[in-house]
Amino acid sequence: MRWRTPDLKSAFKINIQEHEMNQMKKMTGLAGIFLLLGILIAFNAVLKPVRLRADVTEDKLYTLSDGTKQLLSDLDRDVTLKFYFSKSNDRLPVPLKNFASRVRDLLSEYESRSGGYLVVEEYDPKPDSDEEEWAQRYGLQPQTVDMFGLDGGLYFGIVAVSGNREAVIPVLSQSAEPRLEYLLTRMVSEVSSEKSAKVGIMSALPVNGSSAMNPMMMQQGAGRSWAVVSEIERQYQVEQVDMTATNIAEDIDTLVLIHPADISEDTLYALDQFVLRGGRLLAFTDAMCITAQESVNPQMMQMGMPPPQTESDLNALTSAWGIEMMPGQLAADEAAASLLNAGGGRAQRNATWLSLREQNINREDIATGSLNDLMLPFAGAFEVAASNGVEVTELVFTADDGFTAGTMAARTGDIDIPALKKRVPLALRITGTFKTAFPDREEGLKESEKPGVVILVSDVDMLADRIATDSVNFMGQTIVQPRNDNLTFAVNMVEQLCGSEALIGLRSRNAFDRPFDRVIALEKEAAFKWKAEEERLNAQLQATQAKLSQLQQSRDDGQQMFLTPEQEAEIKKFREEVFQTQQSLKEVRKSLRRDIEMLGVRLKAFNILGIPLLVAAFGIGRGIWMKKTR
Amino acid sequence: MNEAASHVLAVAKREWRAYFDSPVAYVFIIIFLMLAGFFTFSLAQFYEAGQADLNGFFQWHPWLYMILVPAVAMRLWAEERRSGTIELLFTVSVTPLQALLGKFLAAWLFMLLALLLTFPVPMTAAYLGSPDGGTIVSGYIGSGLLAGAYVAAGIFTSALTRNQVISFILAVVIGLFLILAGYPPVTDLLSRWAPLWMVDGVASFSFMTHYETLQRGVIDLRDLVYFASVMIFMLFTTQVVLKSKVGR
Repeated sequence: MRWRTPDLKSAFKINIQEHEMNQMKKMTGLAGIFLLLGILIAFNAVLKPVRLRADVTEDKLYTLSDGTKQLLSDLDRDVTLKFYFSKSNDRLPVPLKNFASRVRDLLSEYESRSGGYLVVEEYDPKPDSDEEEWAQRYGLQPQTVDMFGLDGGLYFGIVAVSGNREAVIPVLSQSAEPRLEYLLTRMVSEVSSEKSAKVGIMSALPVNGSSAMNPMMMQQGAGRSWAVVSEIERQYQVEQVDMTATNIAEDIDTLVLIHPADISEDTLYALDQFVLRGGRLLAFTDAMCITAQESVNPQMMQMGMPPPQTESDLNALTSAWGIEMMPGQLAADEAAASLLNAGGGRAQRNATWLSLREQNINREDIATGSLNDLMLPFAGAFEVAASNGVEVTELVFTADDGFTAGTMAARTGDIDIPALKKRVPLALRITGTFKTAFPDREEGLKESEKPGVVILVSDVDMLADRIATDSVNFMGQTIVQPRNDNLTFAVNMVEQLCGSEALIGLRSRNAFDRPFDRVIALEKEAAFKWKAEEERLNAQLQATQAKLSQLQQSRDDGQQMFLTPEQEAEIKKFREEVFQTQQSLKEVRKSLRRDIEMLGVRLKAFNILGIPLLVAAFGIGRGIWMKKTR
Repeated sequence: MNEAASHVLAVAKREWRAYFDSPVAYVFIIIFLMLAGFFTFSLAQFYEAGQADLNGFFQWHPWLYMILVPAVAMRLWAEERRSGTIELLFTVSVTPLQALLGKFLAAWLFMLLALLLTFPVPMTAAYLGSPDGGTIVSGYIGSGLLAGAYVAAGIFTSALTRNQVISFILAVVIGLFLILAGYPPVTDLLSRWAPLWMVDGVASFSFMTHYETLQRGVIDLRDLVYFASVMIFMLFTTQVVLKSKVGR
């Protein structure tokens, strides 16, 4: 359509076109602008509830996992998710608002996938309102965003309600974002099931303080239960299961088995049947359990009782699934070696006392994704042979150049490093259809009725209070606090097993973190060079200092009150040497750091100046060329 | 239709050439790239942060565009009107809409070219670590749309006045409003007297809310529609302004 230049004079002419012209003017004039604005706003508003979006992130960070989708589509009772967020608080920082909107987005994703069974309600608990009272009643904790606390408290939490069951996330923090889907799915799964999970605990060790299972240990009197047991008791209904049980009660959902030493075949059969009928098993076994060794009661020894078994495994059961723990062998990893007291004030690195970090822990799995510090003293080594219809996920493992060492060698610390090195799994999760380990028994199940889950861990000592906790005396009170992530590991495993199918194998969304691998590699390389140089210079320093003190001693022995000028000069020279060595150590550190800093400076210069210089060169070249051709 | 499209392209080509026939385009691109690099590496501390993502890079784009895009767009109409070439343009069988779209296209493509020349930043991230390719692509889409919205606003203010400086200032003000609409100092001020729905309404006008989703790696229809709406509205308003002013 061609556009005609408006002519003011003709606009006043009364003719047939006047009406049309007015119409056009209206459409294209101010009214048109407001009309379009209205239409656009309305259109945007109409689209607001439409959720048509593509998650283009590599790890599908903003898409629900299959487990969650399955859980939501299987819902058969109404669940309400109450999202409490003080959005009217005018001091909210923008990142928090944005995080809240991501939470809201995720919640509506849950709602839209539930087939109408899940409803999201949003509440804005203003100070002294009914909403605030309810938030408090649900146990939500207000946080302060203002340093003076003038903001009246910010509520940011979620409550899941279904029938008479409820679950709460009292405070949502941005650091929990990688686990957000897990937390939500867990809440939904928790409230949508009829009963709460029941955990059985079975152990040959006095994990409950006084051990009712082992009458010999009763003499020690009632001790405290292990922190891990107290932690599980705090969250679940717990039942003790006898180590000699020949049947595991039907109502137990998850069985935690700690150090099943001297386990009888009938008990193993009971475990086998428990797993086959869908019970979940978390077993901690050990090739060398130092805790069992330490729990030796002198009275027991006097009575001629055999010392407690330090070795335990479930090979008779797990070999049917293709998994065995190597008897008499411990997992070793030089990179994860811990410093141990070797007697006589000497410290020695021991590659079988494992201090595990991020690289040894499965970052993908939600139950282990947030862990980064585990200590496994003398852990056994699993061998995974055939899959046998089950799927095995390694949760904790040594580095790729891990190996195994005999228990005797591990004790003394004189470990030979074998030629054959490989990653040794330390904790495994096995899922799938299990086959019985007792095919010859006539009665009982031969294969699991529905897919089951078993988690095997090759160390028991990691759960012991001495390894997992620190006791701090604070104003006369003993406060037990975790020393590492060992307890979290155990509790996460129990939590995962007690939850629904959906929670098992749910991915952690930790991929938000993308470190500079190249810089890390440079740092490692620098640290390596530094260590070598430091050792060389330190040896030099020690030698020099030894000579120096020798010289000074010779002065003190009384035979000679004064040093000869030569000796004085010698001491001065040595002192100078010590100073020089220390200086060169400093220099080495600086120069190693320089590589990393230089890389940063080069990249910065390249990014700020590189392309602009090219553009300038191109522009100047083109200018000159244009002048010439003109 | 074909003829109209070729008219649009002809105008776009003319404008594009006008950019590159003078040193202004080069100076502009150089300033843009240097500022983008400086903001990313010095202010956002990209290297020191140690994360192979482009958050520190994209987060500054709204502010960069706020200053630089009005400079690119200010002469588009103002210059034509000042020198009187606008009548000449419309006599050669080009409709104002075609001219408008052509100019918009040229300015937007020019901004996209400047944006594409920031490729060393993702390359640096890829060299240092393993960034998420999807997030980078969607971040660039977001930034490109943002640039388009600013260009549309700049064209609008350029049509309002013959004075390029006034056009520039007005465009900066509009850009500032669209950035700040979702920012606490502004919402604070609003929430003193306005009801919550209005505060939220104003905040949803902000570029930032919509740009942020794209930066995260989520391409949401709602955000695409928002940016398209801003562009359509600005261009439509420009056309209304042109119609009422040209020929007087």
